[in-house]
Amino acid sequence: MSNILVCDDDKTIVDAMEIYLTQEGYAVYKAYDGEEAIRILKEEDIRLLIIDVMMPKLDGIHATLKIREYSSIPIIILSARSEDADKILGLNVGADDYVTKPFNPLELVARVKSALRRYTTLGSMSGEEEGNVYRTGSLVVNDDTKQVFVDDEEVRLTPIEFNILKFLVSNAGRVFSSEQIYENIWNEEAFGSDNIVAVHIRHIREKVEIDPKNPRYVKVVWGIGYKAEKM
Amino acid sequence: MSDNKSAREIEKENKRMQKEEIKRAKREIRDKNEAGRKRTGRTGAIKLLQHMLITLFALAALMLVSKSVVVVNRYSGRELHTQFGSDAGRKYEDSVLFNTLFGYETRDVLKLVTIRSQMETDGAYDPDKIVDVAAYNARHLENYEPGLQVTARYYLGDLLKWQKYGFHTETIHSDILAASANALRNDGFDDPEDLAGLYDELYEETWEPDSMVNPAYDREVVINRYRSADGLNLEDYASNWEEYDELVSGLMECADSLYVNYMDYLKMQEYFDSLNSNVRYCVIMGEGKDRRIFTNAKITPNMSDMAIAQTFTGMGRYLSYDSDRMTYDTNTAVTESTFNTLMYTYKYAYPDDSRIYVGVDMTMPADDAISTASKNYTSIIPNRNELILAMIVSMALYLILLVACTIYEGRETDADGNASIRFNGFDNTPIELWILIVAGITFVIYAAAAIIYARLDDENLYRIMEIKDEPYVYVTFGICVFLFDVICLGLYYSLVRRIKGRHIWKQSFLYKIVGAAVRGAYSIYDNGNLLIRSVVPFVGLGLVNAALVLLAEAGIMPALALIALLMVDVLACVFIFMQSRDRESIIKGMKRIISGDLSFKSDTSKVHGDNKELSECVNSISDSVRSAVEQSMKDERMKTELVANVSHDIRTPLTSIINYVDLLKRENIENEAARDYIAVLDEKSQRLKTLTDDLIEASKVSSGNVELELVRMNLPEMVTQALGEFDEKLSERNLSIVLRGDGLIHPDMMADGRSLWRVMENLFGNVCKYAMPGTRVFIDMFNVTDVTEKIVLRITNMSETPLPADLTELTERFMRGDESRTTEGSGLGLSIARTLTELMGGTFEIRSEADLFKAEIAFDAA
Repeated sequence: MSNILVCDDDKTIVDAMEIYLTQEGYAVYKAYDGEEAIRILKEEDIRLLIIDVMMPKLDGIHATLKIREYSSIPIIILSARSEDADKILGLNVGADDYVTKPFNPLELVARVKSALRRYTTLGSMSGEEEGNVYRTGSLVVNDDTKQVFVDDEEVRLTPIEFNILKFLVSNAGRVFSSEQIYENIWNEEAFGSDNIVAVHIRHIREKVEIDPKNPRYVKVVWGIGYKAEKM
Repeated sequence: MSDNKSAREIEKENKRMQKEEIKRAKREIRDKNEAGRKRTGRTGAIKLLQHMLITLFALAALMLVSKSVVVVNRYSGRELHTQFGSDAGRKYEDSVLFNTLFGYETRDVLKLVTIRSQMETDGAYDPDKIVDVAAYNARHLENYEPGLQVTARYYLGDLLKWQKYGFHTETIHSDILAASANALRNDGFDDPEDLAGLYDELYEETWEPDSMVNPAYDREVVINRYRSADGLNLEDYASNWEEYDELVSGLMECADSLYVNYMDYLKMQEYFDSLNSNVRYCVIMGEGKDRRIFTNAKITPNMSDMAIAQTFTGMGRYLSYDSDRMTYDTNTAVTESTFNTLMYTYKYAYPDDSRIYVGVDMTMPADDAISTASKNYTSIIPNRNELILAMIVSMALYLILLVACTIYEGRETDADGNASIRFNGFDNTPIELWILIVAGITFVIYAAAAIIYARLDDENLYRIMEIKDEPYVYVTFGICVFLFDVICLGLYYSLVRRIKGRHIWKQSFLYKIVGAAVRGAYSIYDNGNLLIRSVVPFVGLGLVNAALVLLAEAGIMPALALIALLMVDVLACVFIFMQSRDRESIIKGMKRIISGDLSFKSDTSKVHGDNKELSECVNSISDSVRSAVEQSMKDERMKTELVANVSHDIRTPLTSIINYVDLLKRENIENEAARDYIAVLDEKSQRLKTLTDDLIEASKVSSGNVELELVRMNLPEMVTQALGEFDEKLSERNLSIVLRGDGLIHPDMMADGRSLWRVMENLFGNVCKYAMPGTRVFIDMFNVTDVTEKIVLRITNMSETPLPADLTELTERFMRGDESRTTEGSGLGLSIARTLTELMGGTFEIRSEADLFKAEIAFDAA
């Protein structure tokens, strides 16, 4: 299984992460500051790095910058700072994901899996899609088999959910109001403001997204409608 | 080592470059100066040309005047005659000048002949000529009104002699009078009473009791020397005093008149002597043996009238008049009516058989007025038009240059093309000084001209006329005009530059005086003492007014006093106006401060007195308010930062707590109580998480530190989306939604999607948490037209627990709807929702009616 390096100056967090990740079958390496993390990265065959921002010696942002000079392994930044600006900074220096503390350990595990899958299958997916396969990022909607994959993992959707997702992904980037979606899926005129579309889309998000409140693929454009992010 | 060397080289290079730079700058300055000098040279040359043009104009004018004036020496003195442009091309004998002179000479001839007829017998002066006093006076004296018909005849020679030496008088006394009275009595006045009556009759009109001389007894009489041609004394002709007096006065007037005429006679005979004059005349009176001839021509008494007439018609110019035949003939411009006018005065001397001939010997053998005029006449006319042309051209050029120079004077364009006005040192001196100097020079010239004009008698005029064509006169005149123009144009161009440079006022004495007065007034006004500040100007104004009114009343320069009064009051009015204006500007500034522009500062340097203080107070108030606001904003920011930092610090340990509680849950713990404890830990740690998140958000939101991206959005869509998100939670609580939005005409609004979602999330979250399970939740959307079109969302639900009376504290930070409740939620939700709504420009309101909880948000419809 993959080797994962967890780096945080709070030992209890690292230990807790070790427990969760080991349960999932990963081999966990531990570091307590940025320099140590970089050293271990050089010595061991690490496939993924989880790194805290606020650390002694070398903080997570600078460590990420240094690592990115020679490595493209997935990096997940852990941070107590939840401001948008912090998130943007973290992603801009080259992190693949940004998780704010306190986090749900299961969610973090999910993100680790997702990041690893994306990393390992990167580039191997192209060429195999024909005709009725729609894709945005790691979300693949196969209209022939009526299957949906996120990070190569199949997600089970109801037919209506599938149709809505297919509709959105096939028009990735465009925003549709609930009414438009309803009319396209049900092929009948929408009467008044029914929240049936909104409910379905929330269900889709809950199934497809790791964090439905901060969706990666199916986004709510508040007051306007919904869209599948084009990636 | 090599580094050092290269450094030195670089230094050298730098120095060299600096030097070149300096050189270049110097060259530029020199070029600029040269250009300036060139420009100055050019304008200087133009101005020199102007001065020369005006000098040329003046010289031409002088020449024209001096050449068109002819001074002639006539019998009555030296006379100035103008030559007329209309004579151009005419011969002298046809000119106005000649004809004027001829007319004058003719009049003098007529006078001479009149006198000659009085003085002469057979063409020579005759002192033994008999003169009848009354007859002479009747004919010659205009105002003579003979009262009594008394007269006496005298020899001409005697009369002239007596007049020359004066008539001698003596005072006779009563005895003499009595003797005369005796003589009178012999004539019939024999009664002494009658005599007394006669005295009264004679003297009552002039009787003056206080008179030194008693007219009754003393009176003046001429001495008994003046015998008539008949050898008699004056009293011999008079039968009473009245006749005597008249006779005496008649004698004296006659003698006086004759003496004047005699003087004229001598002078005119000389003047019209054929050697001295080119005028020839001949007057024939009477026929046969009574024929008298007065002439200065070569005419013998035996010549026939015809021959005489031929002599005159043979002259260049002549006129002839025959009063007997009423014929008039001339080849001059002197018409018959003119001649009659000339003759009118002397008509009495010419009997109705007079023949008058006047002519001019155009060969002009004599040097007289006519020949002088002739000489000047022929020498001037050819240049006249040229002189006028020169005047017009030089004046036109002068004016054109003046206009051009006025436009371009002082204008200077630098390398960047920016125009500016160049002044010279002269322009910095007070203008009044130069106006005074020029006015002084002008006054001196004017005064000199006035004095010369006033003293311009014949003698002076003649002197002037003698030198008028001398070259040095022209040179002097030209230099004077040139210098005067230099001064005048210098002043004029300086004025132009000053006006163009908006400079004239600030350089003047008046400005300094006015400035000093204004500063003085302000120093009183700015005085710290309230009494001085407020009472002194008022009392001063009153006193000045009173003084001026009194002055006008007293009649001391009333117009001036009234004008001054008006000016003072207008100034006071302007001052009051300015003060009010200052106050208004201060009020405006205060309003700006009130409306939130705390950086506003009113300019205290422009206002005075109370207003200055007021303005300073306003400024200090705005200063302190601003610093207070800044301080509070800083505090707020610090608080936000503090909350954020504390929250961050809490999060890290919280992460461990949550993780380990989760791990604990995964342990198969048999102990029931322990499992319950873990559940509590789980719940509380989750709440702590929510609490820190909300805390950060609330502090961020309340400090306005949120980035909003307002986009056009649809409220029903928003509500639908929100309901979709909350579908399950609502179902859990068995809450049914009643959505009413049919009346919505304008469903769009401008809002930030994520913030509005946060508002919705809080509102619906509250509904899910606090609404009575199993009830209906009403969601209304509608438009309201207030000042603007609004779009309103109202959520009404039945509260599970009684609502507090005062709902406002629900939206206060860190206040909870029900303090006793310990369900999930931080209690910050409504506060965050409210602040976010307001940040987006909307309004947020919560109300309660019994157990009904109503939340209402409103935005401007887009």
